[in-house]
Amino acid sequence: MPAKTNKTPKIVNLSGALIIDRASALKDELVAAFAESSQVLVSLSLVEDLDLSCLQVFYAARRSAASTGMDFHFIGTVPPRIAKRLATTGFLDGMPERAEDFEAALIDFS
Amino acid sequence: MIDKFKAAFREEAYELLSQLEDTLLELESQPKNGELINAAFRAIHTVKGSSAMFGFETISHFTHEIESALDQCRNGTLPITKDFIGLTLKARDHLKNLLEYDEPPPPELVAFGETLLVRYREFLSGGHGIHPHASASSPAGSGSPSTAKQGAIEVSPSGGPTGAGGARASDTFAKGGDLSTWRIFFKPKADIFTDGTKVLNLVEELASLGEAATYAHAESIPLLEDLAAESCFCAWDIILTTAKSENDIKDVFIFVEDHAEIRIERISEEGMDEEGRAKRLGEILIERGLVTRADLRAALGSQKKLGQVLVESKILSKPEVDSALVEQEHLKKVQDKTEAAAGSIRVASDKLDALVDLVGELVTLQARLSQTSLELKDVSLASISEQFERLIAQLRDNTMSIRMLPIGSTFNKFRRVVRDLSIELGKEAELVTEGAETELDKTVIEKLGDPLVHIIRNSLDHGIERPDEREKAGKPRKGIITLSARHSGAYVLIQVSDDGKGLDRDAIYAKGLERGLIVPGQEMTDNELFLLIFAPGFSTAKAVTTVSGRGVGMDVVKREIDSLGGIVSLSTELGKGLAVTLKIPLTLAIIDGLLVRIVDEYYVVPLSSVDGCIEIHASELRDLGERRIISYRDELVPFISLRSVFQAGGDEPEIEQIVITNSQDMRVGFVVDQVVGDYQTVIKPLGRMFRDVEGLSGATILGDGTVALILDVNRLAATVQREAGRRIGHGGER
Amino acid sequence: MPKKILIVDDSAAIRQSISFILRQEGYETVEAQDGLEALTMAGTLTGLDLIITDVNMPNLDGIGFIRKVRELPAYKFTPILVLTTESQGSKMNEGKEAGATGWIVKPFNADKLLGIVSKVAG
Repeated sequence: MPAKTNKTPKIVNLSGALIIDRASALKDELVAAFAESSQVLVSLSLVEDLDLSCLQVFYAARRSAASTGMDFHFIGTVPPRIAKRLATTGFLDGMPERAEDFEAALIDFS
Repeated sequence: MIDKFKAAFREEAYELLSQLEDTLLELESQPKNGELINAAFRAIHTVKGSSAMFGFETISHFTHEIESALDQCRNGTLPITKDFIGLTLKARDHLKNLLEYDEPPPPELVAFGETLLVRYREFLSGGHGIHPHASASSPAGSGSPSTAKQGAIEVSPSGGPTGAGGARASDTFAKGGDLSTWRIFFKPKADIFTDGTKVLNLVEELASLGEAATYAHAESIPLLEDLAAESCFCAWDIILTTAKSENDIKDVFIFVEDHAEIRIERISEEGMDEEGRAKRLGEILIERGLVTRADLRAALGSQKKLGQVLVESKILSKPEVDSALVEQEHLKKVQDKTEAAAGSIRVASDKLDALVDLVGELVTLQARLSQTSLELKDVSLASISEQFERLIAQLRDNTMSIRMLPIGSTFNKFRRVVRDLSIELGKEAELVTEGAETELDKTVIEKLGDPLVHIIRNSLDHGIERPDEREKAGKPRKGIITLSARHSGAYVLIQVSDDGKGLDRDAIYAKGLERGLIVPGQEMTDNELFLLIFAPGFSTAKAVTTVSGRGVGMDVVKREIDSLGGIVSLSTELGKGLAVTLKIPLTLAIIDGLLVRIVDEYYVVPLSSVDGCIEIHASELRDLGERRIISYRDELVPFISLRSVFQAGGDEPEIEQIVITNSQDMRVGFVVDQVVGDYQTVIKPLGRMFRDVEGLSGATILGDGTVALILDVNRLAATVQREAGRRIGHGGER
Repeated sequence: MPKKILIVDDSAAIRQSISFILRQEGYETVEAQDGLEALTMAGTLTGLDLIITDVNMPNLDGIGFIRKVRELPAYKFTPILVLTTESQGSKMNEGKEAGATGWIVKPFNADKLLGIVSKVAG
């Protein structure tokens, strides 16, 4: 993907259940976001459920961003329900609430 | 609720059967019509499936083979003949009859069903070509000559009672057992999402089976552009410590077995070093097959941390090391918990006993303080006394909880007994334990050791049969002895049960007579009779064995359990096994009691066995005459006057109280002059002079310093029951 | 929001008892008596979290129904459980191949049913 120099961050507010039915659309949404800005910020604050397919999309986005010198971060808070799920399934160390702590605690994310 | 469904099932089954009738009649004229065959199959299939669901086992069993036959008609391997249709119509009528009954239907109906099934089996084994004129009423012939020729189709026999019994026994076996730690690797195939499988749910389900540490491998997730969003790229290492079996773990993956790579291995405890410390990282990595010993030796030479060295030297990836570290941490945590459970502070037990004594003195002193402050009517003193009372109650509970130990600590000893003894006796047996975590007072646990050994030995020696005998009786060669413990109110129930031959009522009765323990013609309840095996000098073993046939041992059990204030009961079924249940009070030292008075003597009745109190007037007592039975909560309860039991003398007051107690599942009343009230009491052993007084289990010191005696309700109740029985037996009844 | 489950079986007794057990646990249920009716319902309903279907049914059987319903975009990933009897080992595989998530072997009790439902529908 071409590295844009646009410094205005693109904020992606997600809500509802991020499950497999939405995985493709989520991927497309993030690809589009990177086309708009080199800094993509995702808020999970209103997300009710997160399954493996959509989590994989975030990992992939982070890796793409890192490989092209762009930024991909979470902002806001992470619903405890989601943190708990990821902690139980081995993706998250602890149950952080703030997005930046969440990012740091995600296994193999950064 | 289930009845509602049963009614719905019947209604539906009748409808299906009437449809089946129509279908079969149509088939007669167009036997090649696939749609009709399908409809017939579906009708039978639905009846079969729903009958099993609603508990109509006979119907479900009966329809099974008809379904198989129709399935073959459907596949064209079995031709539809007039005879076959005739038979199936008969089967349909039979099903209709069966529906009239709840399980089990009348035996003659079941037997008739079997004759129909025999006919079906003939069809299935290819007999249809040979007996075109066979009718349903003809007796079931043996296999036709062509059976061997066309015998490609086999109907699997339904599991007989023997098979079912064996399966149950091994289930129990799997259920017992201690915690194990498992290393589970789970890597779904990329297309796992496409059939609706929710992968994270599976990992969560697995984690819920016990104490789990989970490491997710996310390293294969590609860049966003390359991501197939509907594919799975992750894998998991899950370290699970659980009491569940390997099969329980496999069950989590039951729907994805063919859609994932799954490895389940038990983590050996040998990896612990001599001090029992958790494994080293290097050992875990070797076990996982990630590094060789040589790699390890090379890496250990460095000053840096092992994991770091291995990653830096590119022998391992960071996720591989991190995952192993998660395992190491988990093992450490589990071990810490186990140690905490085992109680890691050691205190000499006499110090603990001394503490309990002191607390007991405090409780006694507190009672005096309350009483004094009441008498003085001093408000500030009363307030101090109340606070004091609360604190002492807490102190008492805490002290007692220190003395509580999980009974499991003694279970290992019994496992050894079973192992050694079964070898000595030439038997095969396994000890299964349940409720190892049940806590009991330390003193009680110590005193339980010997009785339990005796009971287990008895089970092995007299209960469990020799392997060949067991096989003949349709049991698995290996006998199972189950030792279980659980709380029940202020008691702990400890049960030793075996799947051996059980007690033979007649043999025990005969032996009881021979030993002079019972008189000819004596009526006894099963429990009373079976308890004879605990009588001194009793043994039904034909030959005296060195193990438990000496007739000492079992009477020791009874004595020890009595001294603990416990109750022994037995239940047995000839040929099926024996269960000995010990009901033991949680603690010995301090009890809650009901203080009662007779003349100027005080007695304590343990509150746990008190059901209630009622008043009785002297006139009512006179009316009863010799019959000492009153009605209490619609039950006739025998009673006895404690005044006469302890020869207290003095005159009965005009109104007396009867304390109704409940022991060994029977109610007995004790007449006293006055019920004083609840009383918390410390039990002191009885002095020498009281040792021979039956019906007392200890003594306590009251607030004012006087001594009160503690009633042994179980023993007194037995006396009362005996007296009541004698009175009824020898002339009471008109 | 309670999870919504579609139960497909030509036996009203089985349908109703499954439905009863699930409702007791707070699930919402809808029922169809064969594959054809179920397919029509799937087309009009939204937000189904799970489908439980029998195999042998008139008009459209369970396997056929699963194949058809999986073709609808909204049901590409919906968990589907097949009701089967022990004598039909091959049906489990056939069901999985058609796109089922798992199966429930008849006869079953409430605990087993609820265990499997929560396993696949979460």
